[in-house]
Amino acid sequence: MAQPVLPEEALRCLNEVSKADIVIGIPSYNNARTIGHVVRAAQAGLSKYFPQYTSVIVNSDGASTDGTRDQVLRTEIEESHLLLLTTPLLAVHRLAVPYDGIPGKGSAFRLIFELARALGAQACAVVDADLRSITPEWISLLVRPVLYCGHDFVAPYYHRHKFDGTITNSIVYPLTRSLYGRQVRQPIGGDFGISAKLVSRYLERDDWETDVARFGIDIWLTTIALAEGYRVCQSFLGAKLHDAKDPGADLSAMLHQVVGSVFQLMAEYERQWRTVDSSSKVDLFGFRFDVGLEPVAVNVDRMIQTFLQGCDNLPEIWALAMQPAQLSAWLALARRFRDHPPAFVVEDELWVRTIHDFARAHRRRPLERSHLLRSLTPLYLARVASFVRDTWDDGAAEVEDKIERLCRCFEQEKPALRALWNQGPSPPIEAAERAEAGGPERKPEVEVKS
Amino acid sequence: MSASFAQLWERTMGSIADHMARLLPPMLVALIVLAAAYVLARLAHWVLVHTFQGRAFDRFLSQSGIAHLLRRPRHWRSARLVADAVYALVLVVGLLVALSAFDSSATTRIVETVAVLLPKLAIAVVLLLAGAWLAQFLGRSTLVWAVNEDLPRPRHWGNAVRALIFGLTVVVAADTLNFAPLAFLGTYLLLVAGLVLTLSLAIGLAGRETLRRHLSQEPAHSEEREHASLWNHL
Repeated sequence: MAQPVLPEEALRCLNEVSKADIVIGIPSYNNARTIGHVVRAAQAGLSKYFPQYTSVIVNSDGASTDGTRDQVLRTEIEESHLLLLTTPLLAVHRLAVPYDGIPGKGSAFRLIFELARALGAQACAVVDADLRSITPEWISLLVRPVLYCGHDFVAPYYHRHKFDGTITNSIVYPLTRSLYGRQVRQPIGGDFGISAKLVSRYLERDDWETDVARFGIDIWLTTIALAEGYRVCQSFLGAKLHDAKDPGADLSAMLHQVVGSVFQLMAEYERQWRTVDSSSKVDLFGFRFDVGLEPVAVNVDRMIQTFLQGCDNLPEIWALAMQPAQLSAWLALARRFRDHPPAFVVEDELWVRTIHDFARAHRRRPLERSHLLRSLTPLYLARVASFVRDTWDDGAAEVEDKIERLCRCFEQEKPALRALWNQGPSPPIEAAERAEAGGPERKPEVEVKS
Repeated sequence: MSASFAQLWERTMGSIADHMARLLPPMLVALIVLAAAYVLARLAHWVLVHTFQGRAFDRFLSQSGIAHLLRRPRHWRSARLVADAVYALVLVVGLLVALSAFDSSATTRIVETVAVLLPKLAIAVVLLLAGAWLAQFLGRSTLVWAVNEDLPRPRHWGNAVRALIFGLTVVVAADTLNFAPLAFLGTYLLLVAGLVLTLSLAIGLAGRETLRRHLSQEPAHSEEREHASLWNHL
């Protein structure tokens, strides 16, 4: 069992506030611009919907240099602008505490959970610090199912622009759904409600120092809840609009950490997912409504360019990860695109099998995992480029239909995944040699549409 | 004349007989030792090939890329690798024991030299293997990074890193063996200096051009950069 990691500053805060029913956690790193709004929304939500409960807002900060913590403590709710039908009986406390350990969202969550457990909270909700669309209702929608309906895990359900959240749409949602049989639409949404029981379970685990400590935390939370049979539901939160990501940050690392965490958990929960054959809907709280969404700019040409670079330079590495049929199909796709540029479609079947191959390679380790995951980037960008081209003129409903089709493809391919998972390691060295010698001998199973 | 020839002949034959009488026993011993070493080496090889699985080591060779680096991967399965190493070691030890049977100053010197050299040789081999692994690992990391960053000629970047690391390992190994260390170090430093100079010139010239473009297109820059980002959609 992992040892508590409460830093001294957090212990001092605990002396001030010894007990709380609800803890709202806000992990942050240089979010001074938006965190004031998030704190105000959280405080208003707690005052409005949970006036009879003792509540604490915890900002777990990763040594921000832009005054994020000061912003949290300085933020005042404008009471005159907030019409409450019930008078809050108890004050909402605010703590801004820096966390120790590996820098990342996971370490911030760990501190929030430690504080929630130490305070004896019945429910804990976490929300991102860069949110611009959060409203007080979010707090109600994330906490109420835990407090009043006995749910252990509340996942968010948002409307997002069709080109936003592509890791979710192309890998994490379909794969998680096919593996664990529950249709949680935003498994890495970032805003969750969690029961005390589940918080304790998270803290028992000893893998906080892995990729989980970084971007892998969201899928880690969701997967544990799903695979270990906790009561899971979703809450409709409207639109997710967040601050522009730091262009200097290594955002491609997010892909590797998220996908690496999915694969890692896949190996851990093999017994659970092997028995699942289909997926079922998950309860959805909240009133669904359509909202306007900010367009997301995507650079399809550069994505395809990166994919072509990969095809020119990475076949030896891909040959260690993928089966020859898939490798051949990807190389054929690149050849066809060069001959005939309008033809660029990554079929669902090819994508699903590729992800399954990478998952198995992650388990079997024919090469270093960091190389394996990073070599997925050009293929992922190719898939995104294909998706963008395919859905350029589509409305939200059509896009959702296409994502649903991909999910079904993941489910249809699951028996193949089961068989593949148990196969001994494909002879990687010979595979690499074959690729170097001019490609596989087998006829590709997947035809690439031109 | 014939008497002196016969005398010379007798003396020569006597000398040969003396030498034979002196060398034959150690030669016989040496041959027996060599034969025994050969039989032992073959036996050890057979036993290791048939009993030692070494799957973990195989995996390490494959994961680390050493197997791939050596270009003859099938022959480098760990069972055969270990068996070959033990085979060679037993033969070398047998040869040394056989040589020491002659007990002459020359053979003693050879044996002593090899005995001193063997541990250094082992260290050098380990260094080269470690260097090959590190070179392959960093070379692959660089290759994948260069592809993901869309840099021109990613293979060249990967190969350059691989060559730099492996070259450094060769210099260290040569130093360990005391085998022309200055020549290796000098060559390596010259190559690295040349590479650094080339890169500096390339980056300097490209930087000037980039700066010029940056200054002339300042207002549109941030929007362009946002559009150019590959990761807006995450």
